[in-house]
Amino acid sequence: MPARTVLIQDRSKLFRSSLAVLLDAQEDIRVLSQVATAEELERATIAMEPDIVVFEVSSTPWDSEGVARRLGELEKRPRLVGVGRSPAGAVKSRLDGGAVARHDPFEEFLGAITGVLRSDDSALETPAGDGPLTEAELHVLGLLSSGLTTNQIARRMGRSPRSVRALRERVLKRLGAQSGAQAAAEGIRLGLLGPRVPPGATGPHVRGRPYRPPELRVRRWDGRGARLLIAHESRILTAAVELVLGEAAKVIYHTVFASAAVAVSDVLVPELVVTGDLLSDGPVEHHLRALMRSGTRMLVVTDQPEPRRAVTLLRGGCSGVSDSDSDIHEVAAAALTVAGGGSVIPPVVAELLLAEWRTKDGPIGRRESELRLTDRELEVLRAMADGLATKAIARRLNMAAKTAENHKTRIFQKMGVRGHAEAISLLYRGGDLAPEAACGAMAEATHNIRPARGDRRASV
Amino acid sequence: MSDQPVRINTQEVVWREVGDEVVILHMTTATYLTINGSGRLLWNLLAEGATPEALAQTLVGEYDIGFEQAEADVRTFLSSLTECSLLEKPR
Repeated sequence: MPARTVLIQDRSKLFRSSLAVLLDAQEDIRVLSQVATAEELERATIAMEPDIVVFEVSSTPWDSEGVARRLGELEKRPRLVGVGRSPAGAVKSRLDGGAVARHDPFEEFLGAITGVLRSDDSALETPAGDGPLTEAELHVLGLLSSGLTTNQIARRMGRSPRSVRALRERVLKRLGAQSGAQAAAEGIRLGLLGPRVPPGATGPHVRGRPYRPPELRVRRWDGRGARLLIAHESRILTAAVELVLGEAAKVIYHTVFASAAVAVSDVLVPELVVTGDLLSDGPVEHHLRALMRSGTRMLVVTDQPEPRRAVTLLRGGCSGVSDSDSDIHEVAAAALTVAGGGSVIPPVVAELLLAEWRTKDGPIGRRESELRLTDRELEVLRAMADGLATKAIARRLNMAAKTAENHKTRIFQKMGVRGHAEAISLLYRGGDLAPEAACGAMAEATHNIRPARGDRRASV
Repeated sequence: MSDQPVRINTQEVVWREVGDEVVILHMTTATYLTINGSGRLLWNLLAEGATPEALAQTLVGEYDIGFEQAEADVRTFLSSLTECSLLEKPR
């Protein structure tokens, strides 16, 4: 049987690329493409005619109903699986494979996809018979009595929600019931079901807690590759990192709690802890020190790649910061680099650090006194920050325009910058200037930039 | 079932309770292990030293299971701990 084709849409590059590598690793599934927007999704669906489309359904103002409707009207209609918790009813009714929450394990996504791929639609055409309930009907009845929803039953049975709905209707009709609860009661009365059992329970239990025999799970490490602990809401990310890195690394533990990551890190001392911004028990910043106290290195995959936040994390001891708008292969490579003792610093942060280094310590080989701005130079710099051009600076500080020009040249040399805009930007980044003042000065500086003839450098 | 108390091999084993689990590192064999919820109850008793019978009684007290099942489950559990060198050797 040829591989079924899948198209993935999600605005998070990390999520869609992670899901893509995991699905592509399945024998009978081939990912045709992964796209970010609704427009790209519709174009790609028309061009590639995938069997299945996996797309975002619960973000606002995302028009997921519109997308589902338009895809449903295509001549070769793909089966639809949603990504997101609790999609609106109008969207839900159009999803053949139901919706899977973004942070669910990969198995849930795979279950939803294989569920719609199964040729189980024959169940839809079979009329309700008069004989005993079929095995599938009994299974649905049992799961209904456990309080599971249609989508949950579909995943549990590996069927599409549509076929489960059809089976449910048949069960209700045959038992003369109006609801799942009534059907369950009737099922118990007729001896078709045992007493009600809570979902997940596998044996005797007290106080709602199922009993599972005490079990020891052994996870041997063969000494090859780096040991990673992943503390991140996304189980998809964890599975994808493990798949991409193969023998180069082993994910020894996954958790969504920073406190659990701290405890495990203390005991297992992995080479690397990979975290997101926010864990179930708070922002990662609150746990940095504890997470690294065993000597492990840290990589934060952040949704907030602003330079200042990245700098905060790096100053807090992290060895790497990776933008969550990266491909899974980039994040996996970053993890290997950091686990191996290297650092991963986003280019924009490297630039900022370089600027700070120049301001505070100066280039190697130059004495600090040579680099420190004099009082007069600082006055000129502040006037520049106020947005004044050279002649206006000269007027304010009661000096010749030529002298003001010379001061500016020296300021640029000492700060290691090429012009007015960069100097003000550096001043702002260094925290010595209020943002409003910097913005005004930057606007002025940008306005003043004129490329000199034969010279691409800005002249202010 | 033996009436001799059994103890964790604390010389070679470190562990932390994480939620409902116990995460364990055996420092000599570089093996890391996890124990589930009901096993966590037993592990805490084993840290102090406990007889297999006391462990089985604990399971009976906590869960709605009979002594026979508890005894069998404890035996299997202790044997897996012994295989992984997590228990002190009997003197």
